[in-house]
Amino acid sequence: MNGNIDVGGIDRRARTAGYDDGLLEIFAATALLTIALAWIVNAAFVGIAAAFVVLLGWKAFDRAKALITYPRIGYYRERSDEPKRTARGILLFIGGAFLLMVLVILISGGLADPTEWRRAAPLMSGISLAGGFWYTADRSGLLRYRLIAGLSVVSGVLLWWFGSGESYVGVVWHLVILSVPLALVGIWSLARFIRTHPVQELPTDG
Amino acid sequence: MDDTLPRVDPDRLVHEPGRLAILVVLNAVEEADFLFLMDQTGLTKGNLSSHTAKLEDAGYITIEKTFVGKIPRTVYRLAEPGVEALREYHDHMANVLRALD
Repeated sequence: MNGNIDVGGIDRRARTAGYDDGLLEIFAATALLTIALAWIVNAAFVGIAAAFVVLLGWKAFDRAKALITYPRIGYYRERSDEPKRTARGILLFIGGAFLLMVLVILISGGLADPTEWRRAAPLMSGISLAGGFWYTADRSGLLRYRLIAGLSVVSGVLLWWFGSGESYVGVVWHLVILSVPLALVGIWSLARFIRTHPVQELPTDG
Repeated sequence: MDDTLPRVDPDRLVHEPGRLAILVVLNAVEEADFLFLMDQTGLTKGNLSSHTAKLEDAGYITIEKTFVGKIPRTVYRLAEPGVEALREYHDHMANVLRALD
């Protein structure tokens, strides 16, 4: 290292280092596909699939980080947000998305019609998931998460607009539409990360 | 010398580029190990050891040696005096740059 340092660059790199490995995208794609699969099998399984993803998925994600990422760039832990504030933000956002869905159904005049609820489900899913990706983009500063957030909203609106409401197939399609680019970007990022970051010998006197 | 210019007297412990890089990285994350600091700052093992020891002596960072399974892991965190020193350094340099505008 010479006498000049790029403070902004170091700060930015340290904040985004954890997103270079593509594991988050692969995890998100797997989680969305698991839920989509549960929806195809039986809508009653969706809750179980979501719980499975939350409880076991993060453990698998941490394990993958320990096996792939830390031996290459070292161990780090991101700064965490205040949990109560985060939980309040998530609830407010999902609540807002739900209210919007109810409003849309109300305008279309079918609050008592289950078809309208099924039709509007991709709208709810699109806005809710967009919130998650937008939040990730804010934390990481990476444009690709903003693009995924945009794709989530646009595909949700289109699936609602053109959907028939005969089944929840719109939501399944929405999850698949998001999973495909996430998986592709994740696999590509992981391959590049492994190629450009060889496993390093652990320093002994750290 | 122009009396309107602020006195340029930054905290030397923070002003040194290698130590500043370490503090910036630790400010961006909750905690990190030696390898992560090496990777992010571009410092050599010897330089990083020497700088982190000085920062620990000043109370700016904390160093904790732990084990993950059977593997030892040394974890570095920015301490409250380090956060304060980095903030003061930022304000000081911002004042200097503003005066030069």
